[in-house]
Amino acid sequence: MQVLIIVINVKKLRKEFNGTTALDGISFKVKKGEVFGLLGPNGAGKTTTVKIMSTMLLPDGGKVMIGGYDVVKQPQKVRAMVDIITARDKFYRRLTAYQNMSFFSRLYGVYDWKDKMEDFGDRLGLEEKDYEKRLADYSTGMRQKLNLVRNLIRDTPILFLDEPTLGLDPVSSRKFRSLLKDIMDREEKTVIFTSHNMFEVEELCERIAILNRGRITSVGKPGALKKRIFPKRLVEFTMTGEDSLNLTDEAIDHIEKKGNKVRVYLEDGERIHEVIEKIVKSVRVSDLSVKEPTLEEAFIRHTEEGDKEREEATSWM
Amino acid sequence: MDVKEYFTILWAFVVRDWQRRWSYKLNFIAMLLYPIVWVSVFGVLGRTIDDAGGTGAPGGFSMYMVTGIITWRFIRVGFFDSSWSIRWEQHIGTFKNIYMLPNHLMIPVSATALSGFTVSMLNFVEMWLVAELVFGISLNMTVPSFLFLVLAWLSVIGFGFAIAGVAILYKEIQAVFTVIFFSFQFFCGVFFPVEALPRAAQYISRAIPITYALNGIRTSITHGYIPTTDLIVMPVAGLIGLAIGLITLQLCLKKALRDGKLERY
Repeated sequence: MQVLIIVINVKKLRKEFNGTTALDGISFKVKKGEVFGLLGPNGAGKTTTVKIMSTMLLPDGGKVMIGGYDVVKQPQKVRAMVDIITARDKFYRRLTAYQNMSFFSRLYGVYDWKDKMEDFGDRLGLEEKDYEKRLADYSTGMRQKLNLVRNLIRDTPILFLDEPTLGLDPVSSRKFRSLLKDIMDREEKTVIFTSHNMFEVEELCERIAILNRGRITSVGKPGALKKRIFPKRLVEFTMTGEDSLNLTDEAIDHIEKKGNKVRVYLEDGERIHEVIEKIVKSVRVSDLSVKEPTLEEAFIRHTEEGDKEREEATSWM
Repeated sequence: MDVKEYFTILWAFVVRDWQRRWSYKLNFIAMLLYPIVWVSVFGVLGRTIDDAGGTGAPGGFSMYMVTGIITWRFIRVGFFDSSWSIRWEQHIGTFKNIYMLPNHLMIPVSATALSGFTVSMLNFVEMWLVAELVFGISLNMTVPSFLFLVLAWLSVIGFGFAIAGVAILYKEIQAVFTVIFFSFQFFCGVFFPVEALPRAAQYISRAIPITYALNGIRTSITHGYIPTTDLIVMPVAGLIGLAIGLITLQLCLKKALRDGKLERY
């Protein structure tokens, strides 16, 4: 029997900044080797959570255990196990990549850094001539690759990626995600990934917590989360004949018709086959397709609903 | 952490700083020329005053001036390098990567101070050579007088740590301390004897350890011994400074961790 080891345990974590609640008692657990996503809009509390987990910020309440160590009582033990990558990370601009890596590696106590740097750098698409360049001459994408190399050389079992693709163009961002995925598969690290970009989270994370206004509103696998918080399915098709569409089913939420293009919205995907059968029996169709909501649609709807509920609940005040 | 690991980290900081200095070639040349120009200006000034009848300072006023600025330069670099260390890393954005190591923050701070010490040593040798070869001022630096110079450097880095801590929270504090530190040139007998100051100002002079550092160095060069008072005051001041520095750094760090100001700059 496989034993699941919890390496990150966050319990009722609270943090306020000048009277504003940044985290309102959030709790979650992350298993060893899991890639866990924290998804939320700007100001939701993602970075605050990561900063507390990486000992860069003290909480006002609650408890965070990383690898069995308390982030408040044993910060040095925690720091030995974790590393954090953000888009804001910097190197010494006037030094070359070699000089930078030599410095940081000595700090980490890694002495065979050069071989590791070239090995990891090669995997990430950095070339040997790049290492002789000063960091001032690096693009944002190259700098983020080197940032990842720095982490891989340090080789901590737990990695926090706090919006690491922020500021990268879509192509570099995609490449970076693919590199991350490759590294995560090979290195078996426990990863916390924060982002407001749904595609990234959906692509990389095994489980997601949706964070909004300092609270976790949902936790689960991306697919299950989508179904749970936004279960609608959409059947799209074009009518090719002159027949009129007469469609009824308990699963249908509503139908939109523009010319001969029809969109049928279903409450959930359970009766989708029956509905499609009814459609093809009723009218002649072409270009029939079934669409699932993206996590982005689910997320927007979910956070909007949460905000609306909150506004309604406090409207009398 | 074992001793070897500790020295490896210290050495990494020293190498990094010299690589960074070397990357700014003109600044590097200026860093080498600055103490030469400095000692030349005050060497000529001292000699002019000596030629005009002197001030009665042992060894002549040019000797007085040169020992003053050599000691001052040593102390100044020690103080500023330790006090700027954290703020500089925060400013360029590398602080997080250093803080995320399991080591205590004192290691990078003291490593930066050590790196500054190597600069002080280079400047010291330059100034000594110019004083001897160009102005014929014979600085009779014995081993005890050199060790006393190092003690003077140690006595201020503790205060540097304290300012490094305060600067985590209030970046503008650096400017305030820069003014205060440079006022020590007036009070501590860098360019003229403390006795030339008004009586009230002399009380302030006696409360600042740098006064004793300058007096001890000068006496050891001109008379071959270090006064007992200076020998007692300097280590005591150094220990008090170090204790204040460590406590202040720790308290400021804790407040920055609570307020979320550790990375923000």
